[in-house]
Amino acid sequence: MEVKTMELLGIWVAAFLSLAIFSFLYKDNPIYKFAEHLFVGISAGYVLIQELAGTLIPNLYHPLREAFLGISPSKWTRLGALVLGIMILLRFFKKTTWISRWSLALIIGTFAALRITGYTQSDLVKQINGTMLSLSGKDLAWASWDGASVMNNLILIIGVITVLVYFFFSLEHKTPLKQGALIGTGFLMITFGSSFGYTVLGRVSLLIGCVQDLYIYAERRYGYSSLFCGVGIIIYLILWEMGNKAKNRAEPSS
Amino acid sequence: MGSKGLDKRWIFLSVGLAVLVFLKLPLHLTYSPDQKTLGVYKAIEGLPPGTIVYLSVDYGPSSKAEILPMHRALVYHILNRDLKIIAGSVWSSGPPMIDRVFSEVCDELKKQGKEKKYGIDYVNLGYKSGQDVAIAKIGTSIPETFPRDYLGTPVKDIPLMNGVNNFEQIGLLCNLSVGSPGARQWLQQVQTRYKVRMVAGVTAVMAPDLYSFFQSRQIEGFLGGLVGAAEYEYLLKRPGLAMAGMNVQSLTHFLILGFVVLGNILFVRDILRQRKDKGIKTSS
Repeated sequence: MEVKTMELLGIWVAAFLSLAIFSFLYKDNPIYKFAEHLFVGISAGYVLIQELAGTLIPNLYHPLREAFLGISPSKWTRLGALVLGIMILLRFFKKTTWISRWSLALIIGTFAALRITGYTQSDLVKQINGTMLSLSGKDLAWASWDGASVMNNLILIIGVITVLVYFFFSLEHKTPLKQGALIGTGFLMITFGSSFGYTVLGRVSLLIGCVQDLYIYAERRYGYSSLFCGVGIIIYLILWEMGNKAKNRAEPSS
Repeated sequence: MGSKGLDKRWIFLSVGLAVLVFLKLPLHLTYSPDQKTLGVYKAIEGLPPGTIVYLSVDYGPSSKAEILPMHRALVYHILNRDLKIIAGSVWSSGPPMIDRVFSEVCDELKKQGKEKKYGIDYVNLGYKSGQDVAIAKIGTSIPETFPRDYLGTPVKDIPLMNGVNNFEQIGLLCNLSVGSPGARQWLQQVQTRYKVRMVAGVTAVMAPDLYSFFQSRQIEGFLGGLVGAAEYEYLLKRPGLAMAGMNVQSLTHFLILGFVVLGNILFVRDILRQRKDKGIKTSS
């Protein structure tokens, strides 16, 4: 399969930058710093373009243009968004900084209202509802590894109650609250353990994905890019270390 | 060597070398997909052909190792079942991922004799900033939030978008996410408000968060990390990068468990030594 020049260039850049970031595992070094700064700069530029092309142009420029041309006069309302946006930019001038607070107040208020209503419905009401489980029933098995059963429902109910007891600070934790809180601690520990297990899984997955890519880049059709970049970076690190040692010998610490 | 004397770079090197070597081993582990993975599969299988699925792709290249395999598998499953996809993103890095997967999966389906067309079978609406506000707005009106697609075409000129206004016309909400805004925000702003059927695919770090929503049936199923993606590939009988990666993952976990055990042994040995030293000092 023929590889286009631009694709090949992209592969070489990807292989070099991946390995440059990995070089941090040895220690902080100029190649890592270069890759890090490049990433930050490109990310900022990319986000700016996406904001312009994805939001400002289709949701502000085009509607205002349509309103101006008389295609849909109702879209003049978007001027409100433009004014609020300009008000935020007035933050850059000392005398007019206070004006930006109005736009920010609107953003904070909208976010708070949306989050509170959404959170209450989704994470509170629905979750309480989800804890109201049956402990008997014809179709409900006594125990199962996966899915609903009397045993699983019982564990869930005990878990919710005891963890709530653990976080109940209005009364001193003496018997029986102490026992309840202790069981709750056990449930919390299991939760933290499973979260940590999943985190290890996730981090190893990211490494596997990157190594899978590097293996592909090391193929002949891509000019053995990851192999050459890897060897190049190792040689650079050795020379850099030798240079540092020579520098330290020449300039002994005062 | 004490428990604090080991240079952590040896651990990095060991894990790195293990992954490099294990990837080349001809291992083929078997999978038994669990209820949450089966939930996603059944939700898509149960949709009649022609139904529109809203796919929110809220991740970028930094998480592609975990999410890309499930993204490919889900898009393949949806398009192969002759369902339609409206894809959008509330992450600026999402639209190129959408384009890439559509292109790869459509090429694969074309080889199998199923041609899928942009604007008729699938569409990429691109990125919208605003996080929760953008998600809430998508819930109210998709064409108002995305007046144009990723290529700049007005949505009124896209056949797939004809008659699509909000989630009343959407059969299933499918979210792929790696953080905030992501599955939780879609649950809060769209699923709960508009009673939309929802499935998700998330990173392993996010997966424990979603168990409670799966238990309460707010989401019908979810794929958690590479293991979720591998189970889904197994269900589709379409082995991909996730199944290949999971073989390595399982072996690497043994290595990490070995380090945990070794660390604990060294830790206990240090404590015993300290006690012994204290005992000698006290007696002298």
